[in-house]
Amino acid sequence: MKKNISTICLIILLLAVSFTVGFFATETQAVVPLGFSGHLMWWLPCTCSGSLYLFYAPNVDSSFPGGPLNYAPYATITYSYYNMITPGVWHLGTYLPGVQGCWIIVPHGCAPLPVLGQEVQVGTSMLPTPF
Amino acid sequence: MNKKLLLSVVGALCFGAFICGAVVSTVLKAQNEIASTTPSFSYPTFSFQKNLKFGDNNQDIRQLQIVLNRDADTHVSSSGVGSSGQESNYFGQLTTNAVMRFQTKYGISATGFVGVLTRTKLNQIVPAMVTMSTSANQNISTASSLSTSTISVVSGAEPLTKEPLPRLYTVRPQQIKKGDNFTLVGAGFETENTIHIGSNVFPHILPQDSNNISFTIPAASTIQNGTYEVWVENKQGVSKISNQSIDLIITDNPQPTPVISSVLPATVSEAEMVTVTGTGFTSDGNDIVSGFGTIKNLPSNGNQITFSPKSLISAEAVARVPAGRAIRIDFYVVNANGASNVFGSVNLKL
Repeated sequence: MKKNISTICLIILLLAVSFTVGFFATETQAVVPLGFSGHLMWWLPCTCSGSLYLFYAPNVDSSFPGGPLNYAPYATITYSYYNMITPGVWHLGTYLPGVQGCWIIVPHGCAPLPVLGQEVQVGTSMLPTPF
Repeated sequence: MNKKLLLSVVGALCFGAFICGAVVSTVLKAQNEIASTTPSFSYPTFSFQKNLKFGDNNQDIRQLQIVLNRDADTHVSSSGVGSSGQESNYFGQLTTNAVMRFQTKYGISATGFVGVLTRTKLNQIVPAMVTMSTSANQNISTASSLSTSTISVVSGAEPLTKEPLPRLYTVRPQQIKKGDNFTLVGAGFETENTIHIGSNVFPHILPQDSNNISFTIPAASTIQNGTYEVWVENKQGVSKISNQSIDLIITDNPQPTPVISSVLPATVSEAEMVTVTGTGFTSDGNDIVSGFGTIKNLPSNGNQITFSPKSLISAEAVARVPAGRAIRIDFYVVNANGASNVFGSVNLKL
């Protein structure tokens, strides 16, 4: 009888643990930033939001298609060689897709300049290179 | 044999429980997302994971000082090391004093030691500080929208934004009659805000959410027609910034802001022109404003503007695009009545 109770308790415990593991296995799937790399084609200051609009040239062989990202000096972690605004340097980093953070001055106010996302971290090459 | 059978049954039950847990978690998450009518986009936020005390010297102290400095009641120092913008990694007497004020403010025993209770409170405050403006996501719409993903919450030890809050980016519409409703678009709006329209002050204004405040100037107000700078004040600070004035025009005859309804063709070569169709275009003085530059003073018949996308981009930038590839240019139409509330897009094949 005692053995049966122990077995039942053990089974219940195992079920509870399995349920919990299953629950948190999906809960911990926090959205992670996507990777990007690209050749800086153009940049513009986001005059209202105090950030930078960085436009990357279309990539030939990368999952990142190229296009604009927002670099926020107060939020983006920057790594060597900190060469953020020299056209022609390569950038490598991660970004949060969909986050809009670049606002520019227009008459009487500001307007959002569409970007693919917000850079979370980025490092750059030292010198510009030809494409 | 019975044991094997029992083990198999238990294994199957455990697997079932695991799947059940995963499904319940996913359903709960989906319900939360559906329940939230306003999508929340956040920067990755810093999280206080370890206790901090006098004499400690590490990066967490700097983040702690940043949080403390955001509140006038708890700032570490008004000038020099430890003040806003000059936070350090050292937990000294000034930090201890600030922590004690923080603890008193939130009903925690004022010991100056950052333990579990204080860290919990700090971690509750940090996300509110770093919430990213969602207004762009809520207010940008386009005929050929960007491919974007929804982000809910991102956690981890990441930098703490020091973007000043509240921020006011624009008012919509830009021109109103007294008694008309308008929306203030920005970030960091609190549950109670004061709206300043020139020298007119409207206190105790509730927001729609942290990015939008809907407001109507009472018809009985003594405010006269004219152009007024608008700013928002709340317990986080004041939205006014020195280099840009956000204006509201009060007039008996409000003019509509430009609206883009179509951009054709969707893809053009370097030599081709693109035609923007919409409303609210003025006979001249229409600007095409893009991330690459601005074309100024374009004429319009009221409904159409024609321009060359190639003229927006410098030869140097063009040289960095691989031959045969297209780049997408997003732009606004801006004139004396304000900026279009949608942006247009055109693909330029180089």
